[in-house]
Amino acid sequence: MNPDLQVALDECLQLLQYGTDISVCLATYPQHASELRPLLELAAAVRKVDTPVPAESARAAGLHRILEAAAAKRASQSQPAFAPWHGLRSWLGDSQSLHKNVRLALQMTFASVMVLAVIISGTVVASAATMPGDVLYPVKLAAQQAQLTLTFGEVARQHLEEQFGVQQRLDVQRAVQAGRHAEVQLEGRVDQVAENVWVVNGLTIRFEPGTTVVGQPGIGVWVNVRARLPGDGSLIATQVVVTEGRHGQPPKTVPHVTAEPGGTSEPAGTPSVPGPKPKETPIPKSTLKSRPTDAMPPQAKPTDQPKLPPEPKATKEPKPTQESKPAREPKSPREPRP
Amino acid sequence: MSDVELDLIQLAAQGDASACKALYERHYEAVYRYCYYHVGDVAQAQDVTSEVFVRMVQSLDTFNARGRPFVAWLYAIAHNLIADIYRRTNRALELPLDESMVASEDNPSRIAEQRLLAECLVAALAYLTEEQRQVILFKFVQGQSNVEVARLMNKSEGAIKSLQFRALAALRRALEKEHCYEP
Repeated sequence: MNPDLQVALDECLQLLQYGTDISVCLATYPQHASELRPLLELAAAVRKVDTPVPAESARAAGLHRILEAAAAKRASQSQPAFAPWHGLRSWLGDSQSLHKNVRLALQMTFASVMVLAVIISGTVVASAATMPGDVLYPVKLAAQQAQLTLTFGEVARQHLEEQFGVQQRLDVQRAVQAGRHAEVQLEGRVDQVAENVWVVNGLTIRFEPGTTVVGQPGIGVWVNVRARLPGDGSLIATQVVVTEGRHGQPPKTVPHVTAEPGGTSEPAGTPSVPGPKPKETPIPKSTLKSRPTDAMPPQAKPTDQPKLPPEPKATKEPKPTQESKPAREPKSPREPRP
Repeated sequence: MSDVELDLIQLAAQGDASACKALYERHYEAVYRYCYYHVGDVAQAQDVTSEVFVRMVQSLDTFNARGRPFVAWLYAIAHNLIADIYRRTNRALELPLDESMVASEDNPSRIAEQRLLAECLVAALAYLTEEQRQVILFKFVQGQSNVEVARLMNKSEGAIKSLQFRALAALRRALEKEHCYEP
């Protein structure tokens, strides 16, 4: 096929479209005139053909059909969607009653909330594998606290608290083993007591001069421990508060013991100062709900304090002079969980 | 594709009646001509055209321009519908043209001439390949430029120039076979 002929044909077709006579075009391409002429004449003839016009009634009927199809489509789109997101999007996008700006503002707000939710959930997910000393560890604790707050039902809540307790112990254990520098707070039962070393909730905690102990310590009691990780693989207690149970208050009229240098007054660290056994002093979880708040005076709960005279427990009071200290000496014995 | 047309398409996809109507009015003639020169029957061309726009409303959710004109999508729908018709009836493009199809002109001789030309054209187009038929329709019946035809057929302008040459030559031979052309 001759490319020159194709170009000549195309140029002549354009000239014809602008009203140029065929003879003028053929004169421009005399070498192709014999081949161009029939094609140009044919093209001109085809251009002159009038296409039969459709009937107006058919056109109107066609319009009627597509309007019906459009109505059917609208009806199908307005059906309640399975996903709430679809319904919300439809409402935001299609509601004619809303002013455009209001709708835009709603859409922007909705988009912002979605972005924020994604960021928060992403941060929480990212914090799941953290341990004390990590930047996101507080996020993990806050998420656990939020989950506890949103959990209803005593049994479910207790189950979750135990689960988080185990998790926190493992976190601290990992941080200790990793030689992290961090401040931690943990709760648990005292498993073992030795000279300057306690085992709380499976974690070995060292006592140092200056470690504050609030309450009557002993094996089996529930304690709230603040400790620091110096980075040498140890866990050093800075404050230990004996409580009545998980999240509990320190017991009323308890001594405030401060560890002295030289270990002269170990915090109930000798077998001669046995603490109450777990079986002897069970910490009924059902009492957690009835425990008075910080603001309530002790006398507001008469059932907690039987009127029977307290049995003398001389062996449990190693330093009688310290009994004069008020029970609520600690500024914040009930530390909120992080 | 213009912004207006894009807006119309988006609205029509949601079932907006006025947008559907606007698209119908914009493209009815072109789609009808395309159908007519494929089926050669006014009534059938009207039916197919109507069906093309119903399918348009139903399928606009899936429309993806990909840089091609919207009407090219409508031609594709029409092409599929016409292919279905031919499959069902197992026939070629040989359809009688009824009296009512010609343009309403006062001059009887012109009416007769136009009818003859239209009959010849429809009959001759049946001999062409689909691409040749399309280039004849778009370029000489619809009166579109090479650029527009290239976009409609998703080809280069150079390919259209080459194709129109072959299409005109093929049409000429077909018209000779149909005794509609005397050299």
